Amino acid sequence: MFTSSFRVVRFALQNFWRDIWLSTVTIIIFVLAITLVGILSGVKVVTDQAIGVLKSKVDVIVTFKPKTPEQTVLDLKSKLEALPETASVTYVSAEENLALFKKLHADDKAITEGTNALTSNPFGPSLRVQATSLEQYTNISKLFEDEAYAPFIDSGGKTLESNQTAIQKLSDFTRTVNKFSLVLTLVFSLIAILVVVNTMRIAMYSHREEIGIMKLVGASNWFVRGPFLIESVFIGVLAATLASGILIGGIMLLSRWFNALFQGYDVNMTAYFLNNFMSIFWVPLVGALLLSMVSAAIAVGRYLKV
Amino acid sequence: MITFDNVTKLYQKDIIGVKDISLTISAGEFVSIVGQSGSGKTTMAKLIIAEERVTKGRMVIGDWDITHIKHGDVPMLRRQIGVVFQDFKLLPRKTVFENVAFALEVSGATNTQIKSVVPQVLKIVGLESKQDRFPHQLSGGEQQRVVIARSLVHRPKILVADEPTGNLDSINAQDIIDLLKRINSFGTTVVLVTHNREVVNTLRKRVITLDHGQVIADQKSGKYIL
Repeated sequence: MFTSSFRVVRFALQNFWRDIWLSTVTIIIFVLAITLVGILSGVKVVTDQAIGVLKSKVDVIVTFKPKTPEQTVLDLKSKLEALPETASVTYVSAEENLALFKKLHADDKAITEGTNALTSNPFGPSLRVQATSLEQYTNISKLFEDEAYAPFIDSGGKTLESNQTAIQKLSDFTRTVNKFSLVLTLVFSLIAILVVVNTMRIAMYSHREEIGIMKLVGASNWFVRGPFLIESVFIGVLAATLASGILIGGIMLLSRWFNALFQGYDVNMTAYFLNNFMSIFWVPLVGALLLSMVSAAIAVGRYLKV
Repeated sequence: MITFDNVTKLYQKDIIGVKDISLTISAGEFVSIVGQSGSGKTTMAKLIIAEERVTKGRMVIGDWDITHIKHGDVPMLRRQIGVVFQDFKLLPRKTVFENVAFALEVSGATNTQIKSVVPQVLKIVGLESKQDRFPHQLSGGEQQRVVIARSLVHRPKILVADEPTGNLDSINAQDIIDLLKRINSFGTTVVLVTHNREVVNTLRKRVITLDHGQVIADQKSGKYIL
């Protein structure tokens, strides 16, 4: 058994080396297929991160009329926080709103002089509300229509309506982008699988006479199939390693661009890819191995009936 | 040694390969099976190595009834029979040595046995100096001698040669026939499938003549009669 296994591995190495051109072409096709799927997966990750950033920037600011009792605002805040749809609620006092306004218009002399001349604060307090998802803003906004709060909210309804249209558009856009990138990845994965399976079939087809001869000389199915399976393992491992190298190299090269793209946000694409290095390496490796072995086994099987 | 007992082989229900063949080939015999193209010569060779299965009748090799041989037992049968083909059937990615050694490797021979036996067999066929060459680096006659070496190396009791001279010139053909005669003189049963009149007539051995899948003559020391 040991001698036979050793011979099977030796034959595989011999075949791989003596048919180096066919082996090289097969590896190149595998690398292209894996890299293509890897790139599309990477694009999907970047798209998901970008959409996440975009979503995190969406919020609704409920502005209260000046002199609204603080207790009313805090009461609404507590009710909002109790909703499962709410991610966070930030209370901004009337004074803070005035200070923020002054800061924003510090370069505008007329506005600065005007605000300095004020004897009372024209701003009321506000609440900055973030939902757990874009779809939840409609549910949250129902609370603003409550009789206890609606009279104190300053043109809240109108702002919310226009916000809701923008939120709906953004929600539709992100859903479409997600679907598109998923379909694209699946379609190209399918193409990659077909390319790999066909490449293996062609490689085995070119050895069909050899397989028949081995059988006529008295080789068992295992003895014939073994070298081809081991050879397909070499091809799979080499291709996956090369493809992972290309993908990781690409990530390194593009890391500066990624980081510039998400500057100021809590996203570090380089760190993300490096933290997921194992899945970037193992997924294509295991995928390529399984695919090449299964397709080789099936392809060889067709020529074993001698 | 080889028994065809009322053997019929049909392809696709109504195409006759061989029909109602009953004959016995004894151990150590040299038998030529002759006939025109499509007469069933190659079918007989294929039945002996279980490349084709009997449709009707019974086939026995030695003490082994191979009429309904299991797929998994076929390699075992083939390891006991040497086969020489018209189109050589050498493994293109293996050297002369490796091609011959392969027949031993499939049967689980040790590396020491292989290193000892293969050079001896290559010497018998006169190719000891070309053991590191690949098949495409050899002439047709040399390739056929490698095939004979491969078919001999595991010391089979039966050697089936299907048109072994079909792709060779007359000088190389005679060399191959001389080699087969020599192998037969060591006690190996040789079944030669051929349509080469000259070869058959000079052998003066048993000749079985086929026509349309049936035996029309079986001569002890015969000639090509068609």
